Amino acid sequence: MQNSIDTARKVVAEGMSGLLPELLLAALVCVLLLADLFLRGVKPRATAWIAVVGFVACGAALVQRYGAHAEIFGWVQSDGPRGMLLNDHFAWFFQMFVLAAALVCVPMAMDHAAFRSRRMGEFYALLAAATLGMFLMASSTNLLMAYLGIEFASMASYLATAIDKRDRAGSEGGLKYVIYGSVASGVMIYGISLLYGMTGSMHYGDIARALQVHAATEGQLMIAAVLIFAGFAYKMAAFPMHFWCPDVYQGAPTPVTAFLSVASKAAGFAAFVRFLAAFTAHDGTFFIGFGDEKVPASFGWPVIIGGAAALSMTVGNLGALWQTNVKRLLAYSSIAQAGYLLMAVAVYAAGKGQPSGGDLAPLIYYFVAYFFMNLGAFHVITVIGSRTGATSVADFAGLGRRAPWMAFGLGLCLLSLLGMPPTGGFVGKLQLLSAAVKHDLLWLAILAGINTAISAFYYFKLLKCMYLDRSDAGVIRSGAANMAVLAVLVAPVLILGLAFSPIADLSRGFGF
Amino acid sequence: MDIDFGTIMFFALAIVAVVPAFMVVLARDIVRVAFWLLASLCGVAGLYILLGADFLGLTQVLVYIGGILVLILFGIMMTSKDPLHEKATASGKRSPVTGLVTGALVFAVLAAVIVGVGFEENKGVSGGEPTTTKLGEVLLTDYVLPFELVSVLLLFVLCGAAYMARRRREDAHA
Amino acid sequence: MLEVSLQHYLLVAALLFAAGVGVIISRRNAIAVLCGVELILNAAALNFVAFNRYAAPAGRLDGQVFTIFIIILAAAEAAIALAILLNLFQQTNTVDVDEADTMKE
Repeated sequence: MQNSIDTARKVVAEGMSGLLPELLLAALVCVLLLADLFLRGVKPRATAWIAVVGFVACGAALVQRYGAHAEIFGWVQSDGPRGMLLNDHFAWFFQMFVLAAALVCVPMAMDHAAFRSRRMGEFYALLAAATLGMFLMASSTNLLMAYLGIEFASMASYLATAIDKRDRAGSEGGLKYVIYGSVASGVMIYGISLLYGMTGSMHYGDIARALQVHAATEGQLMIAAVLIFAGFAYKMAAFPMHFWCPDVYQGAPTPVTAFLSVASKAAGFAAFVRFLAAFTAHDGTFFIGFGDEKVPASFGWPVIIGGAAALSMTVGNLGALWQTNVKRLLAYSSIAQAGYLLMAVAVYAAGKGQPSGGDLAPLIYYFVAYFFMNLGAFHVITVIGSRTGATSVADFAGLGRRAPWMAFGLGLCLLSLLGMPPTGGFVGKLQLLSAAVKHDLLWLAILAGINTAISAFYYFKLLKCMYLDRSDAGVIRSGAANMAVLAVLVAPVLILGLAFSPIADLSRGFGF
Repeated sequence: MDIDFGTIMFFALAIVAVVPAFMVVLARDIVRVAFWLLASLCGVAGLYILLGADFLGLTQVLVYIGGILVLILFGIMMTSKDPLHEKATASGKRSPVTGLVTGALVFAVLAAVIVGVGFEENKGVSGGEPTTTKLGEVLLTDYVLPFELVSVLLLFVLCGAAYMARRRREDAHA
Repeated sequence: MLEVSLQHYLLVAALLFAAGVGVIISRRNAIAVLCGVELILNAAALNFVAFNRYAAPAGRLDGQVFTIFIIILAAAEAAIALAILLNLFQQTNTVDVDEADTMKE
């Protein structure tokens, strides 16, 4: 007993040293909640600046952690650690990604009409809490931790969606988000419980080992996998758990929508890829038909994920065609983007079955491009929306004249989301397609091509409205700070499309 | 008779857990839904104790029944104009038959996996001794990180929910 | 003579899960849907405890620990859902998930 407590004390002491960024975020949550009470009467933006300082400090701590490879917390068995979190390059990339998205959302929130001139300390605390949850999702190596991370991020997101109490759409969006979200997580833990029953553990390493010695059968694994996938798909906003997305994205305050569509999705993918790596055998198959004969499976994760990818793109793009609300349109677009990103995961799963191993570089590259193009688009929508109250596509008429730089930025982001050269989205999609063809997923590549053609309709609809439709409305003054944020977000979209090779090289370093 | 006490208890508690669960699907109004849920949760608490998880059984009663269910009842009281009647809406009445059919399908699939394939058991392990000490030890050693994190989660959920449910100042003055 | 085994508990949990799904499919009241979710969570929790008893490595309590977390998170989730619902009710006087649906055009 004493011995086991000593071991545990050692594990905790070692873990704490690798946990600084998460601790800073947890402290930030508490500080912001308190600051909101004590800063009454001080400038309303004070809490926003506290959030910025906190995020930057966390970023510094995260930079310090670069290159680490440590499995922390949990317990130790004779054959190795059974950690809760695994800090590695893959986790680092997604944590940096989420943190950067949170940081970008602070100036967006400061500019958002409904938030301006209010303290909003609760909002920034929730943003920090959601970021912390997503950090855990990205590095979890235990199903309990992954589930806790998902719930952590979700609960903060539910509250952030409904944060504007005077806004009916926000409350409606929040209610849908929390109700469907709790259904999805309930279904997911039922799946987790079945997997626990088969393998006797919730640690990814143990699960992989147990599955390798045939601890389960086809039917059991299939049920557990489908149920657990539902939970991850909810966070990724991918088929079959995408239906919440339009209402929530439309109803939430635009900065929250931006954060959800970028950070939440990325964290969902990170958690899912980590889980998938434990779940797939060395040959990439779905542990089907091994029994006594070890028949290689003809049907595995690549096909399941590829199917979800194909349906996500199609549902998203077809749904977007009829939308007139800009945020709703981008919500469907984000479902379609989840499809393209899932395609990268399918390629990874297919690659695991081959000697070369799984390749996560196309996923990482596409995420880098997605970060800038999606946040750039939402930034413009926030700025224009909080100045003119624009919500529908028609409200953006004549933007090319009224706010030329903002229109240019949004236009570039839309072209990148569509996948036109010379933007980062084009290079990212090209890498995805070539990787899919290389791994015998030609059908998926063809579907992605058709989908890109469909998506051109609605992206160009918005572009046409901005540049060709006439409007007598006056010029919109965006402000220097907003211009600076725009430049920071849009310049990389072009850079990623023109000078892509250094970033593509870098993206290879963030796999497992 | 050769039937032992444990078996009888299992079937009694299983009926207490399952029958009310289906009454939740069939119940006429939202208040009855909550009370059938209460019965079902009690049955599950009994099953925990039968499984040797004494601490969980009590937690289930304290937190689930004493906390969550009371919360749900308060929610019903504060939001229902006429809680004893769930009114028909534009999209049609609630449809218990659809619910039952879907439930039956889901159960068929799960039962096929559970009965048809079966899960491996290692017989005669754990159970019997009280679990509270062991759980406390595990929560502060192996699971200390999630245990501490969940306290941060409860903190912001508490503040957020209070912020959300609090009446707006302008309303209070009006 | 019939001996209670893992399978019996799993079947009870599967029935709870099925009832939960049925509630979610058939009910339109947000609070009733929440009750359905609670049934699903209890099904998962019962699975965890039963697996912990019958199938886990001896001496470990991972399943029971997971159940504790399920209960904690269920409480938090219910609190959030009801807080948002209350706020929406103050604006619109409805708790119906179909009526709270004004955004589609």
